[in-house]
Amino acid sequence: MNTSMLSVQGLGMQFGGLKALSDVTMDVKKGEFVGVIGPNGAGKTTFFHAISGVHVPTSGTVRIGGSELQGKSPDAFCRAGVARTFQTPRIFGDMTVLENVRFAFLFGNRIGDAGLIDKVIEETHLDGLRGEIAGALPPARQRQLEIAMALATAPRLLLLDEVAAGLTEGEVEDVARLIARLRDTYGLTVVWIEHAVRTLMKTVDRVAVLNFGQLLADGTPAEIAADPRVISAYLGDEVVE
Amino acid sequence: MKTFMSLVAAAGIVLAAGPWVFSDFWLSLAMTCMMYSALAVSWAMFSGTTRYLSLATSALFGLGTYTTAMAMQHLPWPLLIIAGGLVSALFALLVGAAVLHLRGTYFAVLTFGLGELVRHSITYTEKSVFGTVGRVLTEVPSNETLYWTMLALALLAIVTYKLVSASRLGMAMRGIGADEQRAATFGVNTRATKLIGFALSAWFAGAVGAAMAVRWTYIDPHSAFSPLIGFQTVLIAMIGGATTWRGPVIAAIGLSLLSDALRLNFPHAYLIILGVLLIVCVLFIPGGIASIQWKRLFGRNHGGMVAGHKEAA
Repeated sequence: MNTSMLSVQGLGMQFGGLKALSDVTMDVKKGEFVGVIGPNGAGKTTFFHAISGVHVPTSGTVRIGGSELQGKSPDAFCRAGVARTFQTPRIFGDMTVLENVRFAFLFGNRIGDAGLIDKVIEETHLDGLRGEIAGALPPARQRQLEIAMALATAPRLLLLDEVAAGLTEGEVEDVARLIARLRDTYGLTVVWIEHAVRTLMKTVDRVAVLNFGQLLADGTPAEIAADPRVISAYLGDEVVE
Repeated sequence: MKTFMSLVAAAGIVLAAGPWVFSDFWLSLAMTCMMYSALAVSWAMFSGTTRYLSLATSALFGLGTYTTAMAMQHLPWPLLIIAGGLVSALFALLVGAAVLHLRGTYFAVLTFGLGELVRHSITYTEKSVFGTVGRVLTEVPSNETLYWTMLALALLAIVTYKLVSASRLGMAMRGIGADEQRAATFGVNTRATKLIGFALSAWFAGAVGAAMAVRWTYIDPHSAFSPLIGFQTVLIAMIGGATTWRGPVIAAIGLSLLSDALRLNFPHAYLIILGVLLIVCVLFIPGGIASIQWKRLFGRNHGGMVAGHKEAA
């Protein structure tokens, strides 16, 4: 219990007649790096919404560092140490890069010193863009900015939703290396949703597979790659070959 | 910030000479300008930054007016103004707690409906408890006192706007205006922020109402809660540009002068022109008068592009 960063039990999310998530139970230990994969519409993003307070789950419990938070507002999750990015970057488009990071620091970070602002900007390779209006940046840059903003809140649990979307394979590798490095630097627990399965499998400690709102499999990358259910549901020929 | 404060102080000193310079007609017009400046700037402070369109100004203004009508005999003038503001701020806290989770049109319509509710409640209470339909104010302060009070409130609204926009509260409200849920994921307590912002803005509407009450010697719910004051405030803030304090001030002065001139000559064209102005603003300058980049309009060579390149390099 003490070593669990995120503990989800019987999580369900229903939108009208649609069951976006049903009975998902999962545990992420402190310092663990977990990848979440699954076909489109499998409920990955809904899962993130439910464990960051953006949506209130219709059933089940969400524990962050031991305390039950389901039903609480996103700022309660932030205070508990959860930071996230969104599939479509949600930055403050009218503000500059620096203002965006400062915003996250100002409200999300109660302990740190302001030096962290510059540090995370450098680490996410946004040095030259401090004064740029965030809304005018290309999507890939906005994703980097979201990571910088998340880090500025000094999180314990970092949730990344397709931060490498739309990148070439080489760039995806760069992002994976960046995340792995940030995880070491800040001692983070990371959950990463990504479609670039090959890179993800090489980077993470563990993989959870969602399908039709249910947890289909949960294990090491090697186990997942060998799991016939996963192969038939999602991976298909890509990994088999 | 320092130059801003000294500019405000200078404006205050110059304008304070009004009663010795202006005729009664111009003094009254100046008061209208300052009243709408205070109302529109304080409205923009909350609604412009958070994009929660409040139509409660009439109700808040009316509550201030009625505070004066009821407490005139018991409180000295400055305390009366403060009390009028506090009544409205308190009302805004109560109402805000109930409706600030709503967004967009729902929030706008509800705040408007609440104004009507207050108006009818007061009409009913006055009739059944006090046996009256209106109140006559006797021994009102002089026109000069009222002028200086309005000046002080208008300047205070501008200074508050500036201080708030540079503060943590202002940042939080900006975040809410941009993407409320996202701001919450960064730890912004959106509920508390909206409540404080709404109440702060409401204080000004109440204080202005409390002061303006003495301009009319007879007060009844119909005139005190006139929806026109609320609509005018919103129009002025939007035409001027609700994300600045300058825009609402410019628009408040411009429209007050324009409306007075038109009202004297063509009493009906005034509202038509106001409507046309609003349509033009929404279509062509959605950011309001304050968002127009005059430098770019008049001197294309000195535009922001060159400076932009320098910054990027």
